[in-house]
Amino acid sequence: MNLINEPATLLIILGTGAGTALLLWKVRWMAALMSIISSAIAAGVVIHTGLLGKIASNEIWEFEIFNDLSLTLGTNWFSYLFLASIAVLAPLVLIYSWEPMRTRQKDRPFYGLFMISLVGAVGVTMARDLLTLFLFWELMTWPVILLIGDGRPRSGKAMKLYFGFGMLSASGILGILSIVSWSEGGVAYTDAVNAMADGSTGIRIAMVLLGAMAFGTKAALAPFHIWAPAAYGHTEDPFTAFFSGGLSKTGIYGAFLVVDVFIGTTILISYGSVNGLTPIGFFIAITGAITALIGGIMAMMQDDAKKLLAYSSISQLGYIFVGLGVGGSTATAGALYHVLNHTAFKAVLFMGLGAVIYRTGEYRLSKLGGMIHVMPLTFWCFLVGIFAAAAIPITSGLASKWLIYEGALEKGVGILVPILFLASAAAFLYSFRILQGGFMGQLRDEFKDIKEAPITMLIPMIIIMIALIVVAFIPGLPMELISRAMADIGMEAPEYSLISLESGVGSYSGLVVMLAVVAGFITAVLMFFSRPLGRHIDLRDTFTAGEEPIPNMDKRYHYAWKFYAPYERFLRPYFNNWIGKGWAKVYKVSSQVARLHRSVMNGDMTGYIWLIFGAMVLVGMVLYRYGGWF
Amino acid sequence: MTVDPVLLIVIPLVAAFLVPITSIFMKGLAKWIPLLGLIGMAVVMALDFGDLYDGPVTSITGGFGPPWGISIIMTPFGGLLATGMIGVALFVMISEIDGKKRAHQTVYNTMVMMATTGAVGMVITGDIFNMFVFLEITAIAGVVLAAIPRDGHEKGLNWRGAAVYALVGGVASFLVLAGIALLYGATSTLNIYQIAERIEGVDTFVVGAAFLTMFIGLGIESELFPLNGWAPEVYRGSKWGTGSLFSGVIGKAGLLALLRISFVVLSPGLENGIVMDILLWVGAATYLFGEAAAFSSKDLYRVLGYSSIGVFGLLVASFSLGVADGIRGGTMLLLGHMLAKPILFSMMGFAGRKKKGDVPLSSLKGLIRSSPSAGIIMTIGILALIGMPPSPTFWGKYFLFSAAGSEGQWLLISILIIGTLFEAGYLGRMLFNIFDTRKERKADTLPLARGIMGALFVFFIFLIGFLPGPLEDIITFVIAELIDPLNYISWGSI
Repeated sequence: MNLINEPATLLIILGTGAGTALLLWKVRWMAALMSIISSAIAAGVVIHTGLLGKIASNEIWEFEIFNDLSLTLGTNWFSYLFLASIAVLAPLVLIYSWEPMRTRQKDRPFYGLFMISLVGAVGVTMARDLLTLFLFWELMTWPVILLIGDGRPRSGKAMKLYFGFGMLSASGILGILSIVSWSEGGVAYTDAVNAMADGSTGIRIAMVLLGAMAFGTKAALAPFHIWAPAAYGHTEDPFTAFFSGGLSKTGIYGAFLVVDVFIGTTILISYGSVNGLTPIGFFIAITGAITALIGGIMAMMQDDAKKLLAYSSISQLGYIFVGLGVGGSTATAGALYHVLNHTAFKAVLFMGLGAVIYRTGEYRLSKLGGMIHVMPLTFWCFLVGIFAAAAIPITSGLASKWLIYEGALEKGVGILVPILFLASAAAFLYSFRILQGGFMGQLRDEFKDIKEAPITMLIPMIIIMIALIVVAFIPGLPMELISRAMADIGMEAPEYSLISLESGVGSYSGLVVMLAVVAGFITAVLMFFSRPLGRHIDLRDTFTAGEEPIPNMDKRYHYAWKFYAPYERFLRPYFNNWIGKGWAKVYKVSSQVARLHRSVMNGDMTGYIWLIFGAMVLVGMVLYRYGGWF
Repeated sequence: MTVDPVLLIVIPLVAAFLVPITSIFMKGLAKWIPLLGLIGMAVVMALDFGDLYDGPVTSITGGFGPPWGISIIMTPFGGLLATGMIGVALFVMISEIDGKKRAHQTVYNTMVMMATTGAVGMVITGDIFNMFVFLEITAIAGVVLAAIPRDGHEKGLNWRGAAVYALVGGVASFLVLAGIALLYGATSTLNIYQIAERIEGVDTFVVGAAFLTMFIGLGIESELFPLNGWAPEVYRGSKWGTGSLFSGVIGKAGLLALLRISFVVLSPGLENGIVMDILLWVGAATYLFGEAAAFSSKDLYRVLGYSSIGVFGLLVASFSLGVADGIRGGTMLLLGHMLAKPILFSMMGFAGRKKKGDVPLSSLKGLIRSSPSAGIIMTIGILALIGMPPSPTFWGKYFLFSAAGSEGQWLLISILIIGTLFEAGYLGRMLFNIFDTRKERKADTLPLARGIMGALFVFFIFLIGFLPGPLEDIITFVIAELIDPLNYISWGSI
């Protein structure tokens, strides 16, 4: 028996880490060490298994609970893709957390909670039946709530939103479970597949809607996204990288599970086509595109840098849903590729921002600026992250979006493309806002003496940055994993070689693109050095052309306050958080309905007696009508 | 080893009798009698529990076998429930050992013992008139318990709760008695199994009338909507222990009686499935109503009271689905509720003990800082009540969802989801208040006994949550009892 291949091994390793980290939470360095070691071992196991190619797709590991009920675990390449992106990210984020958490007040078991949610997320990807999925889903969801309250104003509201939507998501999974159990009498994934194959259209639609509720919530799909900016914006800074980069992927995993595994291409195609897509696919793709647009535009209007990145995360996950909805070999590959990319770049972005916040204690862009001068390494990592998010071709971020766009074009989807283009424009604007507001421009006097981020924070960021750049040369490397994953869900991957990707529309060569970029860069450098070198002048002179309007006045020329005021004036009326207001309305109405009981339970004793007689008459009438009386 | 289960009735009855007498001349001793009685019951129960794995434990009183004498038939379901009841009563009694003097202590102790006697008697007796007697004992104890005000409110009794419960409970007793009279008239026996045996020959009208009266009467006891008007009034003004007893002991006895009378005795005599349908939808309505009412209440005592009402509805609904998984889920939910609710009542009683009048949600504010052990125990209790794994409630809800799914009860599933969201809403509010540490609160030590009992129940929650397997054999008997009346008949006619 090969222990490494047993899915339970991974859970035991991580579980041990989680247990010790939770027990030793007062001794923070021990907790941190135990979490880092166990998650690193787990990541090692995952990478080792993947490199050996020993994923036994059909083996299922059972743990019996009742006579006829067991929890089942297993892996295939499809779940391995998500498993790997979560398990490998975790130790990096944990190492990154070492320094910022060291000085933090010991008021909650940060590492213990982190590890539990990691165990949950890993378990979600390994579950082979809906019950196990639900168990690990809960395990993953709830520890996070204690990490959300960061003490800033409105963090309580963020916790409540997370709680409410967490419940909604759990109910969604229970709903799916009931459907499958109704149809097949079991809750294994195979039962779910059969349930969809046998089921009527109504059942399939219910499955899609419940899936959107259950998994779309976690992956911040509109209109279930409103918890995300609040929660991402208020978690402990180091955890946000894992929260947004890692945990949101389980939602995507669930969405793929519902659409591509449970329902499957054959059934999807049988419903004809809308705009070249299957109707269900079109619904998902358009929701994803709208999510991407809403996320992008809301991100553009944020001054709070964490919220900006949170909205950007929503927008990026929207792209993945577009890929999922468009379907077919190219777009699906693009979506899965984007899963890997988003894990990496969102983590590096939140890490870079976290480093800035750690050093300055400031998260508002209008109060930052010029960080490039004091934290250059952090800036470079962050810049690569931004490039990847905006799909600028020196990072692997381009390849995945290219595949998604190509996939959409292949199917000739009319309405998606303009929405996505608008979303891209918004993406460019918010990327620029955070770069300009945070890193460029004038450095504030109070931040003059700030040091570069500590080495433990830099190392994980640099590792991810290098990965993003290297993979840009060789897109075939992740495609190897993606093609195996797609084979496991019964799809064929687009053609690829180590350095290039093919779609029905055209081909993309990572090497050529990168060489072109490098060539352009070298030309620029040559041109730069062929001219006489400029001299270094004070930052302020850049803005005042060397003139000083009023001598010795401490003046700021860094414009980040209400950065996009004109756009905002134009867009606000249309993006006025109406989805959030809608949910608030739902909450209010249901509270009012809930209060109806006051009219029944009004404290009137004779009233209660009348109620009892009323009930008696009612039951009597039921018996008279249906019970065979007389 | 089998001990005569009749001891489960005799011990608390004697203890209830001894408490007021000894309190006249030996106050110190009187305090410990209920505890000794309950521990004696627990020992008897522990000795008999192993036998429940092989089927019911029976006993014949006075040397008269059925059909003449009163027989005790402790079915595995009844035994499981009686174990839980003894546990809840022990929890309530031990938690208040903190050396403080409380008003009405003697009366309270006596009544706890009486309520336990009645409730345990109701679930293990094999005689329907005997069951009525125990129902009366429980109801009278309930009225007095409801009248005893909570700590810090000693001046005024909770007249309102006591009066409403006395009035409504009186109606309930009358109706149950009427039902028993109808059944006796039709079958000429008072043994439950014999009535069940002979019910098919009885005129449908008589069976229907008996069902109607017994359903309303026992429905009042088990807090079903719309018969539960008394419940909020009782929960609001009485001690936390009274709340735990009503939700964990008295109401549960009524629930089992209702289920046994409906499914074992009367259902075969009526049109197919009508009993199930009535109970199912009344249960679902109760769940929705109770959770919504809890969601919109501000006073913690009321919140927990309404929440208990909701759970009773959930239990009735899941037992009435008529499939094995539903009953399995119901049993798990029952255990989960009996473990989690006392924890919540106890910790709430602790956190809000200094409040005059209503205990608002905000009295939990910062509990995790001011008294971390109370905060953690209560958090686990709350999560266990929502059905967070690993907890018995989780397994209960899982089985219930899959049973409702397998029966295609989509309306029920929607009600379950909406109810669960309401439940999550108010329990979440409690959680947020516990973890809201923005305002400093004075340190507050949890009394040792209360902490130990809370931790013990938390331990049981985790034990059953992680390893529900060993209960499977007992649950099989529960399913057997409720699905097929012939099983109960064969158990009774030994």
